[in-house]
Amino acid sequence: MGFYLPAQIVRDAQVHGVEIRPVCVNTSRWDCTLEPIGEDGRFAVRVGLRLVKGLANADAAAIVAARANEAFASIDDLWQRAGVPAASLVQLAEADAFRSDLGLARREALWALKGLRDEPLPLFAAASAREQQTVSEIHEPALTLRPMTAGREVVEDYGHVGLTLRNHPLSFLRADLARRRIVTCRDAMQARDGRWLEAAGLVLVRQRPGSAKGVMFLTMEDETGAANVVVWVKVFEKFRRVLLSSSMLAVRGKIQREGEVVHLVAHSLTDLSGELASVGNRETPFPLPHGRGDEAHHGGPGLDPRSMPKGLRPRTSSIPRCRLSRSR
Amino acid sequence: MTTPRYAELQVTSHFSFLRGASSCDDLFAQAAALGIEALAVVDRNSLAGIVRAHQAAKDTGIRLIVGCRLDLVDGMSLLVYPTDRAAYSRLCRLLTLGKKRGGKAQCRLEWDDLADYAEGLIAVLVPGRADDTCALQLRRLRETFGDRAYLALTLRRRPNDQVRLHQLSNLATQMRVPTVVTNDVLFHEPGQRILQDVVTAIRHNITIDELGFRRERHADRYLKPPEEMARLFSRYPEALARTLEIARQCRFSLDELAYQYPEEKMLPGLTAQQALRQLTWEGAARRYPEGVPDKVVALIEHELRLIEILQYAPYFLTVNAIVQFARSKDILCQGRGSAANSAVCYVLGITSIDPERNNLLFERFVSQERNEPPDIDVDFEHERREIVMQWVYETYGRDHSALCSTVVRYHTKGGVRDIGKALGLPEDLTKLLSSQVWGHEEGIDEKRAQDLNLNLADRRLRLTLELAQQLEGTPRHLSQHPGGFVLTNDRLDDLVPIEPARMVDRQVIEWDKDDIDILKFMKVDVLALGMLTCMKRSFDLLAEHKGMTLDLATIPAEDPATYTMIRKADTIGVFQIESRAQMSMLHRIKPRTFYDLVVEVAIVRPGPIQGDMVHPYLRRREGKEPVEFPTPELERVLGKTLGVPLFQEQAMQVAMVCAGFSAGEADQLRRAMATFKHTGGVSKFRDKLIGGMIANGYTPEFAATTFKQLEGFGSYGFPESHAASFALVAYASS
Repeated sequence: MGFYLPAQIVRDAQVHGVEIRPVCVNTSRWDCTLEPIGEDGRFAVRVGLRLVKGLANADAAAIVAARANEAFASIDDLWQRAGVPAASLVQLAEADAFRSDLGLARREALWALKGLRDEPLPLFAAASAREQQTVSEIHEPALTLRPMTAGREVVEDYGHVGLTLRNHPLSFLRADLARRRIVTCRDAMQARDGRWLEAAGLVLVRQRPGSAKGVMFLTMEDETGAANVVVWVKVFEKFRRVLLSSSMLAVRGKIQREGEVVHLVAHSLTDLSGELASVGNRETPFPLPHGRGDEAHHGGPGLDPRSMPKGLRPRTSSIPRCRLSRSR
Repeated sequence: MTTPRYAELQVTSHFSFLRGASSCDDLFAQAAALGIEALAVVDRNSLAGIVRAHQAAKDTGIRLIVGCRLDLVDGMSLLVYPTDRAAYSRLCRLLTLGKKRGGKAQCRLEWDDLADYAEGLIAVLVPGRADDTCALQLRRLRETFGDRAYLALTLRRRPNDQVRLHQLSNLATQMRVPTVVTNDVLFHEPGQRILQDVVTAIRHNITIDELGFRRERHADRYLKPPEEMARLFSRYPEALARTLEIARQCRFSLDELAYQYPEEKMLPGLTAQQALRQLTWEGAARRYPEGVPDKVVALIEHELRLIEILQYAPYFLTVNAIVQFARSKDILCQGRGSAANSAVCYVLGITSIDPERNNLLFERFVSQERNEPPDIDVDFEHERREIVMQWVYETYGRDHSALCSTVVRYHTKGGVRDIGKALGLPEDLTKLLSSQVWGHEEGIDEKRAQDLNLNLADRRLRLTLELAQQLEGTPRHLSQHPGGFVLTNDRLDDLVPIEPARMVDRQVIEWDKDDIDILKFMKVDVLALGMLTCMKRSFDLLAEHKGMTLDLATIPAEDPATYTMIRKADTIGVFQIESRAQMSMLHRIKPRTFYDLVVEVAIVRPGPIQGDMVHPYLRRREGKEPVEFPTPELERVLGKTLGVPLFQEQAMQVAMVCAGFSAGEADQLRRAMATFKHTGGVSKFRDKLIGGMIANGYTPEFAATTFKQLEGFGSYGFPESHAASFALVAYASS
């Protein structure tokens, strides 16, 4: 909902000193909840199961109900007591929900889940019931999986929760960016008026309001904060492809200060999506979600419907649309 | 020889989704040009396009015959036309029945169903070949419809066409069913043929190369002039003449649909108006425990009088009932939009803008001149709105209430994707093309394709781009309106077919909100607002962990720490003022009071920006420019915004105070401004406004500036009431 995505709101909250805790099968409920920190009446936010991509509300409810008396001791335990399909557990594992309480990293949890079916075998279920404790179905030699790289974890976080509580993806690229003399967004926003510089960030919001006659406003973000970029029509047309398709951009341009309002006026743009994809060391693109504020992705508001004459058959072919800056 | 006369009885508009290729406007304009007397729009198992056709018919003066093509489960196809209002209602019910059975976008009807609803309908059989099946169908038709049964004679442009017509004609004579000529029109002029083929391919989800015989086989299914029809059917002059006979019999017009709002019986023994009056004063006593201020009493009296004249009391009662229900379930809700201009809405608890402290202009909401149903939008928590909606369905009954639909139309992106696919372009290419489109607002021109290093000499690529442009705006399917309910006193399925929606337990009518505006239906908006859900959660968390019970009304007002945060533009996650434009404006407005927030919400709108009102306002606010008022009256209107009109109500009041407009006229002015790009009707107001202002002693320059300012934001301004409602949520969420 709203203009920003959970990732930005969570980051903003962290900047304000709010502690955010990751999704956890033993403590998260469906919605996000508050957990007390110590005795002094402060609270931390626990991310809810609703943010786990693909997890059904009913399955989450089953998990929460099953742990009411006693926290889950292991994946096996959770699987037998909650009775949710293995596919839902895979979603939880991918969202890294087994780490904080059960101490299982993504890969370990996924490995453990590979051995499970949707329902326990009847004999083992009967044995578990008799023993009053979980009897595991298979005994396997323990094995050590190579841990994911930190960058990979971040990519997985974005892909399955939509936000990360680890490092910002750009922090992994910072050394490379610094070598290319690309500054951080915070430095860019604090630079003096008229300075030329290049900054890079994840593309959060792209907007072209009708009243701005084709000018695009772009917000990008790195580990230090967000930067506001203005792209004039000419530059937009020249870099249209880059602007519309990149998930990460480097913007070279001039700083413009107007009191407390700071813009980076773009002169040239470079697509850094490839670099971003390399954070997870793989070929697939970075799973950057897009908020409702991002008009390039979701389409602009178009003509305000309230401005249309009532009853005059709006939206048929004859309505002059807001054609923003056709390149002719 | 007299010129032949002809009415086309089988026209398929693009509301037979992915089948027809022309809009009703185009069809009727073409019919007018060709001299066809009447068109019958017969979409498949649907009346979705009939209101558009009705309007197009009015615009062009060509008569519309309301009709529908029914494809029965056993493969029989026929065209039906209601002769009167009662028959139309039967047709609506029949379609509702079929849709309920078939599920979303399907319709399952048997012959027996049709027979049950046949009274008053004229039926024309669309035959295949003149064989035994056809004979059987004709017999059934004859038995059920009697002298209202006909057989369509249509050229198919296949081998032995004339022989087929001859045999059909003989068979019809044998079965004592008269014949009638139709042309089975799919598009208004021959040029649309390619588009029609492509949408056929899209419908079958295959490429045009695989289309084969699924393609409509003859190219001349466009509207033809009467002379041409007479030439083509010179052997059957009587069948040609019967088109007019049928047109004469079908006298039904959508104008006859009298809409009736449901009777609200909240308090036994009272009329709706009396009940509203009683509830209003009870509410007023609650809102003002120390006694209702005189100003508010006067406002309420004025509003109740207007509501009585216009008979809108039941509507207010409905909204009140919905809001009361939501409150009883502890669901947060708040009215917004122009309704917040009403003191009655405030005391009923629908909106939360205090009429005592704000200047409300009821005419912005309801006016006698406009003669148009009021529109109260109420926002509910988005995750629990379904409870409210189901309550509406249950309370008013599933055959008396349904959501409006929304017509989903092709935009450039989707058009390129679907057409590219139908033309066999590889998916990565169509993806590449559509990824370069900004939002839904622009087309793909050649230069853009060249920039992508595409070869424009490729015929299919070029065709894709051309057709995508043609396809823009064509309806693709029906979807649900976000929350507009239509409620009726008589059965709703007498007025319009109802179909089940994709979501469980929801149902929608076939018409969208513009259609029901044309027919002057009233709708109640039950909208969803995510921020209300958020706030509800926050209140719950506060209650759980800190033992504080708060709600929207009891949030501490004018909290300095909150404004300090807002002034720093530290507003990510705050309703409305979190966007970038709002944030940069916060630095300049530096809100310290609630009213500053109202201004803030309203000022970042295309209206004030285009009307060049932002900078004068800011300059005056920062003390860089003197605030001047030529007259004291003007100061009363514009004083709180430093002499710059920022809200729609102010524009209206300026016209009233300075140029002597009545409240209703001022509202017309606002609407004319909002739409002057389309209608050009603003000039008469221009003269009146400027003339009136000069007559009242203002300088011509000042009058011209004022007009320009008003013109700028007629369309994209917020009413103050709406800005205030939103500002309240913004404050509460920060």
